[in-house]
Amino acid sequence: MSTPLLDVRNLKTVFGTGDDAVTAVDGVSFSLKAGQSLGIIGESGSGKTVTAFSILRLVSRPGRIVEGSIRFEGEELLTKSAREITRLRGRKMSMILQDPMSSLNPVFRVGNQIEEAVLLAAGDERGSRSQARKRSEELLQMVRIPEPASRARQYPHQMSGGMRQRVVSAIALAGNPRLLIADEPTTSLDVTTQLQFLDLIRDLHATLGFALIFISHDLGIIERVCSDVAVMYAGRIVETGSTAEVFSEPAHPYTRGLLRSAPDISRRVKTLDSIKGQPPDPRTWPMGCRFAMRCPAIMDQCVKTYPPVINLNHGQRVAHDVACWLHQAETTDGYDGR
Amino acid sequence: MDMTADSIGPKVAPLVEFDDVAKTYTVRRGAFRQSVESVHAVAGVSLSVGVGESVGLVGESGCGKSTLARMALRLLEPSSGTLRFKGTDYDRLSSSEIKEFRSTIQAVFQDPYSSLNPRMRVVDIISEPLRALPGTTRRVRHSRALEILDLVGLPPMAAEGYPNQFSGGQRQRIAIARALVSEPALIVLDEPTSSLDVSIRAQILNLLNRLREELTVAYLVISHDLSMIRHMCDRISVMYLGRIVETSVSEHFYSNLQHPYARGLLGSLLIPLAKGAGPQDPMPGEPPSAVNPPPGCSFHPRCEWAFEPCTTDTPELLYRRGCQLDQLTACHLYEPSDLIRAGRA
Repeated sequence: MSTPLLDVRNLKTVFGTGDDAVTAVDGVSFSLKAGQSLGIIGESGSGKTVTAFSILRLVSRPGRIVEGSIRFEGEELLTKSAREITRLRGRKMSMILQDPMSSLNPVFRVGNQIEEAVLLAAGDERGSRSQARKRSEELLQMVRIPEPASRARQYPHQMSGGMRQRVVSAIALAGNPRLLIADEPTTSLDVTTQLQFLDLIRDLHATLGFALIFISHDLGIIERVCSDVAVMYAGRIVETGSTAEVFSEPAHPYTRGLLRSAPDISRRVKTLDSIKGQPPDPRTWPMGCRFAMRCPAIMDQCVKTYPPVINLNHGQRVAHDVACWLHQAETTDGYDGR
Repeated sequence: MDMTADSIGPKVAPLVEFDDVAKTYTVRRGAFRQSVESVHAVAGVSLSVGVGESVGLVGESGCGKSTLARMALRLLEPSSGTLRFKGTDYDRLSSSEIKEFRSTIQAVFQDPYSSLNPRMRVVDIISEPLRALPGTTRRVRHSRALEILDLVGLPPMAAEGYPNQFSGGQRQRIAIARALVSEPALIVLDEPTSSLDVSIRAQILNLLNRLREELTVAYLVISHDLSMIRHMCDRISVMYLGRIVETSVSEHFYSNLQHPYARGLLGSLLIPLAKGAGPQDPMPGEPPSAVNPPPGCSFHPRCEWAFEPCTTDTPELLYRRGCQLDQLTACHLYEPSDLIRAGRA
């Protein structure tokens, strides 16, 4: 097997110190092949955004990465200097954030902001300003903004939310990144524009061939965009696999609960299935499985020891891993997955 | 009687009625703010909510649904049209009726982080509405607050806490408790679950459904989330650019949507395939500005079915061909029909 584009091993990111220290990401491991699309799904506070920020080394004080390794194109990112990381960002890897209004500078025309990204990404081989302008119009066209030349002269406030998020995407793609991380990019968009934007990202991912990490709390969004999914709960990945497999045969009780609590539109029900209780306090993660107290299938060992990662399809090509004691019995070669 | 929105209104006594209500804001634009433009946030809406009913308003941001909610709460005055509370014009309510209005109609807002005073204890937050009512002692208010806490599924010890000690879902429960304490007949819920996580959302939705059954309180639910509205409401109206474009009882909502925008909204919904998602087709374009709405049907620039009358005449919300009983749509594709009138006469 070739080396993955991105390989995250046992990542641990902590905020604060002493008793108030919060281990937001607590031993997360996953890898991403070139051109793959991975959805990270989880509730607020599950650590999905901190995982993304850790990959780009954007975690700032009082947060810090205390353990683990992040290898990108075979190189360790955690030992790189700030200058080296800056050279990677916006070129080899880039990010789209939630709120396009705060990602864009309100006093510059959007065209200028894209040109700036184009020039920065080109680095030493930067061409002329007019080449950058041409490239910026190409980028606007690529993100399906009609009349790119006249749109480029507009300011962010003159655009709709959907349009702004496309401009942000154009900036993110200016350097032809190998990895694009999108952190809930459609939260501030309306449902109809959300679907347009998701399809744009999905199509760009298919044609440009970058690897995609798409963070969301919405199962339907992940299903639309990503071929693989990682489910996060309380700072850890509890289940990974192909989106189709995980959503049709969820193995972790949390994933099952999430799917059940997604409302069914075709018929009206008085009571939706819901997951009881709420996530544990991140300052004092429980010893065993973090979902145990909300789990309908709780057993003695769940409270005592964190479950190992169990490969459900061992031997087969489709990967489907789950961290749950329920599946220990079904498999003979459970390993402590790290 | 016209076949307008009130005609499929409740068969029970109305609590709040909107009669051709419009709200226009004027904005000054341009250099030196000389040009005056008007924004038609709500452009002629008729709607009513009856005793014990749950009515949903769904639409994208800027469609006027929150303006409508604020007018229902008397937080905003309409520019034209009338609102009635138990049959009396909002303008003509006597001071005692205004007091009754205030305890009868309550609200729960979207963000439980900003709608709760961070310096007040939960028990004081919940019992505060009772202080506006005559004849309640401190002790009565306190015990009433504890009862309500239990009703919304919070432990008694929560009473002594402050909002920052609670998660988003728990805070929304506190906000619901505060709305319930004066035993209202109607609660206006403005996006009550959209700031919550998926697993918590279902909990709050179930709580609201259970409370409505136990307390026979009516809801006016404002949301962009069709799937939530569908599970909470008896009647659903879809708004686009200040107008109701379709209204129907919840049962027809999935199977028999008529208006192209309403269908598009349903088609834009991302629901896991395992949960019976319909065809997901992106709708082209974006909602136009309410400052200069397109002439005729304001949806026509985005509508694949648009034909000549759509660009000039604004279609009325009527019972039209293809509609089920208790369904109205505002689209020229469907001929107005007298069926209901004949059937009911």
